Amino acid sequence: MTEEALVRQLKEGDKTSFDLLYEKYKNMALHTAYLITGDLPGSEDVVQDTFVKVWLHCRELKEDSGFKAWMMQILVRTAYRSGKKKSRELPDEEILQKADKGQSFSSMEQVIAREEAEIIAGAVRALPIKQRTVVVLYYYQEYKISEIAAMLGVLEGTVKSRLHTARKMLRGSLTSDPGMIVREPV
Amino acid sequence: MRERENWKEKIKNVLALECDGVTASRDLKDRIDRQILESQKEAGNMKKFSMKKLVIGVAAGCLLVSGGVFATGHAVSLSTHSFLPNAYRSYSDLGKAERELGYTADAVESFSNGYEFERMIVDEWQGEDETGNAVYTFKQLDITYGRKGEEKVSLTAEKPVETPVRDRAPGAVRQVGDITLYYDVTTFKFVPPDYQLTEEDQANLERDDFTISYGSDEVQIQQSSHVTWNKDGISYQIFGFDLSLSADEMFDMAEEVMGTK
Repeated sequence: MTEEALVRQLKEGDKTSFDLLYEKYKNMALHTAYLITGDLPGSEDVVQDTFVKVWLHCRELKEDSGFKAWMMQILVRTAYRSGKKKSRELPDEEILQKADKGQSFSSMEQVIAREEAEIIAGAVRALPIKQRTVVVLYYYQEYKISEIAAMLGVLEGTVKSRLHTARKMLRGSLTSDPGMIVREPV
Repeated sequence: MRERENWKEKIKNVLALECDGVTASRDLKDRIDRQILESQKEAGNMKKFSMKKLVIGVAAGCLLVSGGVFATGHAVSLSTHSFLPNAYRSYSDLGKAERELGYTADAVESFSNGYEFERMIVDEWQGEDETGNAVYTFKQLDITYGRKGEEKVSLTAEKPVETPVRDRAPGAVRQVGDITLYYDVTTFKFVPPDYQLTEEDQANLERDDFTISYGSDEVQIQQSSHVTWNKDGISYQIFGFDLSLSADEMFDMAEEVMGTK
């Protein structure tokens, strides 16, 4: 069944269609909320609020084909509001979990790559929420400037400005780290 | 340009690595479903039913409370927050509905007289005392069947919280093994929540086959035909309003549900 057909049925109150759409988008939504809020339990709350709003307000969606953009708009705005209330920093234990996660690095090149990734991740986390939100949507979700502007309800110029500020701040953070060689274009 | 692309790719990879292993927890969906239910309860249209001379069955959306049976517990009314969008639209979802219900119940996808499955819903009902405080809750499976050009028929199943005691002579009875099926016809007067009873209403309420149900938008009088039985601790009811079905036809439908026909 196509997504449009699922959305049509959802608008008629079909719970199974809602469940299928949730399964399809739950992790993408969670990742976006997590990167914006920097808080895992909080990002689950954001996803919860988002899908409850999706169920309650789905009849307000005009174009069935626009479900994903509409859902993401709800999510991003909810995450943004949630993230504003909370600290930008991850709890120490979450940072340690991240640091300990997964891969074993054997070569010096891999060790450097890992350090570099951690520095970039830390720099993104340290961005103010306005800038961090556009970085997540632009770099991670690969939305266009115009799409991000629609999601956030701001002008395209505002998105460009926030991206520019974010790049500048990232560059500042990374060049202040002695181990980091930055060749980031502005 | 190439450096810009490398930079973009690098940030994307770093952020993807941040999300590595981050997945929705198992109970997130349960929390979402619960919150949806709560939101609907707040916004929904609350239905309330008199418990005078009842209770063995209540039907979501139809406001039915069957007559002819006294309740011996403490509740004096029942209420629910039916919300049709919660309904399952496929009979194959019976297992999901039963999980929601907490037990399995007898049911059929269609009846030999042409009634076919349309939707099913699990409603939560609340028994309330005279001051409106909840004294218990129970869940009820409610399956709706349709036949072209005819009124709908519902099959309901619930585990009774209060012990039902029959106080009136049934319209008809059929014995199937050790299970007794009762057929009754009851006149229902559906009224708005603020409706004031008339003298005629007061007089009618003395009858065994008349009841008032609060919660509708306007005053409406309908005849309900219903067959009831108990099996394995579950109370079942097949009913509908202004049906053209005879008692025997409804008994046959009940036997199809029981699996004896």
